[in-house]
Amino acid sequence: MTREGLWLGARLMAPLAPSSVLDGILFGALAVASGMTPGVAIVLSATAFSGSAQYATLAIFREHGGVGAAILAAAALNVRYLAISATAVANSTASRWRRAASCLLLTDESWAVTSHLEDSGDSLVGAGLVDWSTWTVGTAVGTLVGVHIGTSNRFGLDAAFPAIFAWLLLSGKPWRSAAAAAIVGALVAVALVPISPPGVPVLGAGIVAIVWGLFQ
Amino acid sequence: MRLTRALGFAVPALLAALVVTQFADGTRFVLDARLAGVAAAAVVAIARRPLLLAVATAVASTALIRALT
Repeated sequence: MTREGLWLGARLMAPLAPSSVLDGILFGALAVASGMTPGVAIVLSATAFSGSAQYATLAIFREHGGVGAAILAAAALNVRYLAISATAVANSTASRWRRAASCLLLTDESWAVTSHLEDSGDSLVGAGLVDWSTWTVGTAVGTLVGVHIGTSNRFGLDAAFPAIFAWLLLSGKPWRSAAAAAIVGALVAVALVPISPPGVPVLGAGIVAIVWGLFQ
Repeated sequence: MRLTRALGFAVPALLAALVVTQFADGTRFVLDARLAGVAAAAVVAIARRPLLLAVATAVASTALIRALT
């Protein structure tokens, strides 16, 4: 591992660091305002290190869904990283274990800023470390903010969660197939909510979308 | 690859389902001022503005409608 590679990745990631801190603050604040303890929120950011998976976990936690449902939903949201990580380290000359370890730090952002490099191995780690530390520190700061918000829904705070998922859905790539999958997911959820316990409608939507995708 | 593509379909489907289930209270749907908040967040997202701005807009517009009604 070269210091130059790490630095290059860190420098490429630096412009995105402030927004990563702000995103972390938002997650930490909403986690605590939802009744999660600050310690759990910070450990979740440090270990899961995935905004969409953490918000999904938090949403299922808020509606008292099971741990199994939260883990499966988080896994389904990130199963695409099987493909992304394979591409990200395709040109790396590092050992198998080191490549696997560097993929733990992989995010859409760290991948985006380093993917143009010939051997992106070390710079991917450098960019990932900047992304990970800013997200985790941001979460810690956010938990301090969250304590003051309280767990009530005054100020329209309960609108934050649907807004987050809508943003994650709509700010992504506007593929036509993604729009179709989103509609399938929404319809399955609408159908399952009246007849199933919390957490199940979300999982059902994911499963139906994957099966539907296989036949496209 | 077909499987990779199919797995990718899970993301928009799960996110759309998560938007829907935020309006569920147990087995019932509660459609209220938050709908306006989500619509505002959608506009922010399509305009490619940051997540924090989307959330702030959604919370503020929801609070505003609740104050007015």
